[in-house]
Amino acid sequence: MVKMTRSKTFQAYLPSCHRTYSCIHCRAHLANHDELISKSFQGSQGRAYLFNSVVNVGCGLHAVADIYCENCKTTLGWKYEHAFESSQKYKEGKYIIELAHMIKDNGWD
Amino acid sequence: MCVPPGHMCVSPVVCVSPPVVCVCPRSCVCLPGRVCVPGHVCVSPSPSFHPPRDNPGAASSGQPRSRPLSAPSLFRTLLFSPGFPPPLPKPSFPAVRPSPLSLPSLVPLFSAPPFSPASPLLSQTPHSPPRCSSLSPLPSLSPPSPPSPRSRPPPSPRRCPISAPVAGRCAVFLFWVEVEAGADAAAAPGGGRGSGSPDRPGPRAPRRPRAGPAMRREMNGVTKSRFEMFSNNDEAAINKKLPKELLLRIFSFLDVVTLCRCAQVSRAWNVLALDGSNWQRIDLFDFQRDIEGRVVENISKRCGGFLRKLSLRGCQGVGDNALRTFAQNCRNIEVLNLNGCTKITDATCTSLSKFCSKLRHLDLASCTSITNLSLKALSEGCPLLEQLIISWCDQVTKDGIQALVRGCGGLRALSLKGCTQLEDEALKFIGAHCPELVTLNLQTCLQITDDGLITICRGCHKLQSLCASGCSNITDAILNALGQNCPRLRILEVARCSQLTDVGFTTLARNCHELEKMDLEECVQITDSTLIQLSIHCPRLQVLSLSHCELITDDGIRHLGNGAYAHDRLEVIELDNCPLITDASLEHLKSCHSLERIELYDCQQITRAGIKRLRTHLPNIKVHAYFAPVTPPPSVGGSRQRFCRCCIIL
Repeated sequence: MVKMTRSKTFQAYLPSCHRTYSCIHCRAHLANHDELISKSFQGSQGRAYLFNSVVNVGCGLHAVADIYCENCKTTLGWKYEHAFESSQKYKEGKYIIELAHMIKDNGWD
Repeated sequence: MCVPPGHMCVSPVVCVSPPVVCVCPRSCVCLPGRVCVPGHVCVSPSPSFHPPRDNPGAASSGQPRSRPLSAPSLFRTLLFSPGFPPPLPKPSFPAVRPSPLSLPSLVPLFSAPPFSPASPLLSQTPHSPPRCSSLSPLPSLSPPSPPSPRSRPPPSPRRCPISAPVAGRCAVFLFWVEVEAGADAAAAPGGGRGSGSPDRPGPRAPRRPRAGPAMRREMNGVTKSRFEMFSNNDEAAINKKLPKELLLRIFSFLDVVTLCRCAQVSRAWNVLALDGSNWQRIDLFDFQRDIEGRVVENISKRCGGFLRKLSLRGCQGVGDNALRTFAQNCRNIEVLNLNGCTKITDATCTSLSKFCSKLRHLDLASCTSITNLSLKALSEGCPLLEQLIISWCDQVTKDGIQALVRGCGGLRALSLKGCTQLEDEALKFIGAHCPELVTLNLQTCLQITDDGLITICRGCHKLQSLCASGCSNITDAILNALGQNCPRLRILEVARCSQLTDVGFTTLARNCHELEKMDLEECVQITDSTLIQLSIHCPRLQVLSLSHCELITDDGIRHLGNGAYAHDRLEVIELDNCPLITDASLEHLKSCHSLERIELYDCQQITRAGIKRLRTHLPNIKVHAYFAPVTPPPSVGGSRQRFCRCCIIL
């Protein structure tokens, strides 16, 4: 039986729609604009964005885990594995990426 | 016993069929694991395809058919092939242009019985739907006067292409017309053989495969009969009813994988599928892991001068050597995408410059080893270059740009995103030598100031798309210059350019009436006044981002929403992180019927009720907003706490 060829890319590529955010160091796609929840977070290096889901990102193992770009291994931000306060619960499982490590692409040209 | 019906060794790209023992009695050169020779055709086991045996000495010893392996991926087969046949010689036969499509032949197509696949391979659903390209006329294959195939007498077998001296190694691309002439001549008597139905029981005893020079003689010997087979009555109904021109046209829309599968269907389809006109554009993005240098070399040898567009986006395994071979073989390449091919260095551009003078579009984004030398080479060898993307090639400096623009005066699109060493000097060269420039991207070129961009505006009056996001040094002077020099501006991205003010945007709006998309994120100084000007002077505004424009109020949105053309034009508006925006803005936008998307996250005064009201007027709108769930009070009584933690894309 002929196997259907699956995409064999080295990294995940996001479909081009509206806007994508990529790692500024290696241009690996990180997140779709649709997954952006908020821009008003602060990291050690300035503003940071909260995303619902990301791609090409790996993480460590703590309650607040550092996340890094799978492609170039640069630390991008962090992820809330577990929130200790009930008011912070909404952040669980979401990713925060610092703006200093991201480049946005409108896809207009 | 022969290989499964319809087994076809596919050329020019790859043999996609599993390497099985092919024990056809005559001409089969298939050996296990071997990548088949171009033009080779394994005779199908259907007895009607077998030529009458004229070699009584054929071995009768059986050979067990090897278990067919699961079909390797397209390019894995190429990788494992022991050696590759040498480059194809130029065909010595004139390429005959297919006759123009004739409408009446469409009628039998729709009345023909459905084509029943002879090969199990055909029943697979294709991986991706055939990519449709815009209809373009079939390429001219340097024809002499093209005779209509139906009026030609069947060619004598000696003129059959496969009997050419380099047996089995000719370019099969160009010969389908000769082949089909024979088929058409015999189609008339017709008859009810149908497609591949076994009318005469043929010998099914397996035969020993032959090897070595004997094969070629065999091929020569049986070529005659094989091509007579084209004209026999067992041709499938689809091939009888559907003119070859239409089939070729259909094949021209297919992607590489589907095309190779079509080439496995039958001999007739093999020749048509491998016609050079179908191999003008190849996209290998989906096969990144399989693409080694060798694969690119093989493809280049197969497609030769037919290849016009090649995408190797993301193929990190491709290096300079492979691309050198590619450049030598595919000299007519026009569009080449090497985005993300990180192993590439200046040597590649040198090769391209030496051999590929017809190059028009070149994408070298993220090829960080590229230096000024590449640009110098391209300027010398590729004068027709229209679109060059060297985003993130951060070794490039103004010297390279200077060399580039001097040689490639016809540049229309230039992407210098992330080329952080570029400064105003480089832009001055561009402004001086690129009058045709339409698109320019300078995102995160941090050293750029007003001077450089003003020179660009003064030199490039045709500019339609400019991205200077992240160039935080620029001021209103740029907007003035754009207004005065670039009336056709449609797209402007100036995110994070916080020095821009209402004054600049007023001048811009009053002069550039074609503005369609504007990204003004973090232009923190702009106020409602800019929105008023835009609503008056820019009737084509479709997408407007005002993210972090903290001074914008509902009044500005009111003007925008009431603008004469906003009702039909405005599609996307981003008001996130504008703290003064309230539900009143949503009211003002309710009559914008084209509004597809509105961004409202981080706007503290927007409420769910307001969004709900907006939806009653604009039911199809996508609202990007998030309301953090209210923390429930700690429950009394010990039942489990329930949390609503969804990101709400309403």
